[in-house]
Amino acid sequence: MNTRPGELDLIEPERYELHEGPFYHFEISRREFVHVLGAGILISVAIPGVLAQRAGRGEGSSTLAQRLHLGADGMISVFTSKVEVGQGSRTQLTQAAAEELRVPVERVRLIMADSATGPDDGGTAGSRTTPSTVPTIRKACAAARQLLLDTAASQFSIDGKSLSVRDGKVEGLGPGKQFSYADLAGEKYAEALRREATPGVAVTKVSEWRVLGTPVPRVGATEIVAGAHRYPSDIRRPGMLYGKVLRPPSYGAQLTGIDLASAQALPGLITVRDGDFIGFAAPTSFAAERARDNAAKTANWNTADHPSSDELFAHLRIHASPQRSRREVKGSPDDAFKSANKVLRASYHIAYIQHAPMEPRAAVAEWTDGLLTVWTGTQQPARVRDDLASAVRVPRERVRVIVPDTGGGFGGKHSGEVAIEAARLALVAKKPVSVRWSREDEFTWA
Amino acid sequence: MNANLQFTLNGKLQRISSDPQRSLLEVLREDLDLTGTKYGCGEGQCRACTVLLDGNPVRSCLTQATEVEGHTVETIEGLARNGALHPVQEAFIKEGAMQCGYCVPGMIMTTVGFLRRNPAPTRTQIIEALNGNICRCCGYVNILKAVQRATQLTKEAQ
Repeated sequence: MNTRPGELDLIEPERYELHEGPFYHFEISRREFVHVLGAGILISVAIPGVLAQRAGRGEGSSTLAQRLHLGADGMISVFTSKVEVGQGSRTQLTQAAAEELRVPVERVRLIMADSATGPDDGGTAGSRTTPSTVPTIRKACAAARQLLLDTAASQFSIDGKSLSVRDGKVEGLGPGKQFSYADLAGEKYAEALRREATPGVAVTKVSEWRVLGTPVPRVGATEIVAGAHRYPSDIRRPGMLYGKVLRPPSYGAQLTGIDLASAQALPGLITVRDGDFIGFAAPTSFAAERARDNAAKTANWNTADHPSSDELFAHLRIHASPQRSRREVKGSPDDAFKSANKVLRASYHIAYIQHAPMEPRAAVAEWTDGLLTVWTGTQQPARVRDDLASAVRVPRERVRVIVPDTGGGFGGKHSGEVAIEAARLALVAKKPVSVRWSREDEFTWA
Repeated sequence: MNANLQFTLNGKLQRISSDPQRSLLEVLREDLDLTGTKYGCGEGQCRACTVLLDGNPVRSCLTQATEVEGHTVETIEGLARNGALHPVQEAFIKEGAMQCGYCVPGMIMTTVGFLRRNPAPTRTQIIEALNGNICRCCGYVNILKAVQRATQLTKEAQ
């Protein structure tokens, strides 16, 4: 892919990882297979990895109901698919909304990354939240402010041009007259919220900012210092079990045999085997881990050979797929070398590194009447929803992904393995299941 | 076979029944729903799981549940008094000493234990005391400022 100078919006998103698609492909039972495809023969086809990130896709939603909820209590909820992983997006987007709505920061409740409610602003990657999502939120909130003004103007038969909004209330209505976002939220005006917001309302000039660009206390800081904020690995649901997954001894190892009989005999323990996936769920992590570790002792694997770190670059030179590699040449290196006064040549290899967020990958999955809800720490809720739908074979409309503010991502939490593991275990357990990767899982399999 | 254990948790008597091999971290988080104490590595390398045992910072991931029998445990949830945050908690907010915040409970518990023993530490002593607590977001500058501010706040409160 070539970079195009002068088109700043087209900066290619950073590429953090090779996306392999869902790690597990659960075996389709014959009945399901016949139901979905009709009788026949199943041919496996490798699906090419999708590298295109959703970053930058920020425009498009224009109705108020999709972006905002005005509460009769004066609280204003703003929806975005962006996530908070420590980079401060919650505070920044809350400021953007408060600025344009002309309300204090405390009056804005930012609902982030809930696939059931939010418009799709894309995933959180490539430093796109500031250039893409801040303007999107500002425009939407400026449109909401205009709707408040228009409605007040027609309600009191006043020229809208003489009105302004301050602290969530319309100013300039005259003595004894009041109109606020809470009034607009009243039933009488509900119809207004269903109509399209006037597009193209001017956002506030930078020189007139009162909230954006000013220091505000981090939103959610009190919950964090009190230990009250529930990160994905802190989510607890009624009757929830804790899950552990058996990992291969090395990448690409094939399981040839395992004795699960003793695990299956344990009361209160859920054992799931589906293809290469073997997982356990129990009322405590300790019990699930013990069952997993005991089963691991009986497992036999065919391991595949891999190059060591020292041999890796030589290996890649020979084996890397041309379709998935990127060679980038700008200008003419030959000419540059020829015309240079002095030429220095050196090769640099950079090791593959772990993102190592403080919070390892974690997910809670809960099935209710065929609807799957997953709380998980990911930068790509839409992609994780699609991965889940594909892995457990339900329509994506029946999958809801919620991302609580997460303990770090660093560009590493783009895929949904842990969510899929939790969903698979919860399906069998018929109870919510929390899977929390260990640090070892994180360093080995993330 | 479960062990019946009794200890003081955040100022109250706590009885639990647990497999004796489980960690204090798991018991706090899973049995008692005190999820403010975090799992970071499970092997004592990051100190996200720090709690106070008889006033001293310990790594709850390496502490077996049975070790707290008859002792006193304090977690991040027990610091606030009558709805008012502890001075160290206040200082972390004032200095914006958090990014993702996942390391913060461990940072705060380490600081609380440390300041009780050394209420007027030097900058070097603070760095040494918190050296084992990892913040992957690398917010160490503000964390150091927060601990320095906490020393001030604690002094003023006395």
